[in-house]
Amino acid sequence: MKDFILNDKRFLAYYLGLWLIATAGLFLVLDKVTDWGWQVILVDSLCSALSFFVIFLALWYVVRFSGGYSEKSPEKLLTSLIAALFLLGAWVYFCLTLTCLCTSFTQGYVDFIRKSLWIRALVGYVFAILINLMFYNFYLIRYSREALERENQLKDLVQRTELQALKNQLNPHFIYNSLNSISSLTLTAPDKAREMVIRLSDFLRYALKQDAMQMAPLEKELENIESYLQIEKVRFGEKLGYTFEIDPGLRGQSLPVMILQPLFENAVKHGVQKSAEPVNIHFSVEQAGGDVKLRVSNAYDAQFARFRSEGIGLENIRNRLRLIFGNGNLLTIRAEQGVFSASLSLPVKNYYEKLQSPDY
Amino acid sequence: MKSYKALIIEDEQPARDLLKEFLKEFEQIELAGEYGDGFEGLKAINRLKPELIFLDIQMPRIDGFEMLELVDEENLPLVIFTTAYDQYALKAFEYNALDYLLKPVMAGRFRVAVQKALQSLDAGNGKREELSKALNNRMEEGAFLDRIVLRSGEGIQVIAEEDIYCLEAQDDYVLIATCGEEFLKKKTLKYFEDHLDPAFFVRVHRSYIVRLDAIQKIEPYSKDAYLAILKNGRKVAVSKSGYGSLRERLSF
Repeated sequence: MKDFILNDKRFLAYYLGLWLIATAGLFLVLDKVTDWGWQVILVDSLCSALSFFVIFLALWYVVRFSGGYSEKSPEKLLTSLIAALFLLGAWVYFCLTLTCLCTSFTQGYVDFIRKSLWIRALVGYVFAILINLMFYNFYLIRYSREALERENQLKDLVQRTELQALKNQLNPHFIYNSLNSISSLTLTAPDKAREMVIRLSDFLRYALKQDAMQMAPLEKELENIESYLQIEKVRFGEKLGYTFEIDPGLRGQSLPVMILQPLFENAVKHGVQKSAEPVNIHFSVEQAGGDVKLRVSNAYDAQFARFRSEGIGLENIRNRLRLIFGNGNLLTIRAEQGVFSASLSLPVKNYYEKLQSPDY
Repeated sequence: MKSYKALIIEDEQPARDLLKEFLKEFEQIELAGEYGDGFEGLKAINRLKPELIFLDIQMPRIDGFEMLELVDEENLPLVIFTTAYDQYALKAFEYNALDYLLKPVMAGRFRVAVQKALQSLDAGNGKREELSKALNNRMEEGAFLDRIVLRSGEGIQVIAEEDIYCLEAQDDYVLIATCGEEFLKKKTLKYFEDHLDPAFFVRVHRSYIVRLDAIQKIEPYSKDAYLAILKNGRKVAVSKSGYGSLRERLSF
């Protein structure tokens, strides 16, 4: 009963207030048009108003489960009004039955109740509309506050992840190593040094303008990965090789910006750098059912490689996947028979179609 | 003028090229070879016996420190370390006269280091002692050994840290026992006490270090002495103070 409306103290106060006003109004009217004596009139007005206010509580659920009126739809208002009509019908039936059962009432009083029942129902309907509006306001206040809180939490998470992602995208060791290589090349191979500076600036431009929630088409990501691998190739020479096997139909696949970067960095750091033999980094993208499977794999030196815990890079990927797709398990890591592989399964979605679609 | 043989052991081509370029101005130094990883470097040192090496620390297969540990003592050359990250340059160099170059290497800094090395070599000082001291102090900030590399015949053997059951001091060597095998490494037990993660290893005796989760049971042996029986049946002596630290660690 967590969202039972009467748990809300403020609402309860308003509701009781409205009930007292209704009772008082009814009392005054009855006092004017009848001569039943004030005790009878008081009991009558209290009971009528009480029964109204009890059955109209049900309207809350109509508002609640039709999602309030947060979206502009007259049907939802209509739903509440029709529901109020049904409730009133039930009320009228209930009163008629009651008057038949209560034989202790004088015949004149019973006749009066029956005659005035329709007028009472009409007045009740006016109250139903009032109560409905009250429910509507409370619904908005209560749920929009919750929604706001949720949104703030999400924003906070996004910001923190963005910051983390930025830190991870710009692996300081990578930049440092690249600058070292450039420094060496300026003396021994100035042409190469110049080329590498350009590549590095391309890479940085791409990496720096992105944020954690942003998506990019696979082909843009591929360009960037190639820049990265080319830069590392200057350091490692023939030792670093790479092959791409991309389903051409998936070049527009939408994926979180730079999500693959830590996978390639790991392949370089744990595969290429730790091995004395040339290592090939293989990247494949294929469709498997409703998913696109992206896989980065490389051989590693089983005799010397030591795996400890998963690095911060992989953790960051999982966090982003959780944030964007609500599932961090879309990344799977495997190391067996001298091959290390990291696979990412993402829902099939074309980046360019997304842009044209009015849904977004 | 005396001439000396030098090697470059460094895994990155641009850095190698740069060192070669800088070396050209030193006629007394003959570059006898360049190697891309610690294992190749080790073989070359034992074969070519250079007087001077330029050694990168982070390298494939075995790193610069691990490589030096495996070089025969009489073949130990004078070493100029090159490293990109200053955390490696920490302790190993702090109290020693050894030289290291931080990448990117500047021509002026390189010249100074090589001239100093040449002076030492001319004076017949190979600085072997300093080097051994440095090797015993190797420690990356907050990182413990995750493997031990040793020579086995012509090749090298790698023991993963988690495979080690216990270590025993034996004169100049330390015997490293895994579940079913034993290895000897020329080191002190103190070195391993300092460099193995104390979360897993405890010094239980003047001559023993034991891996905590390798212990099956501990029984009294004599007054103030105990015996730890390991999961592979091996028995390890535990002293009174060793028993105290075991009690503390295993909370019994």
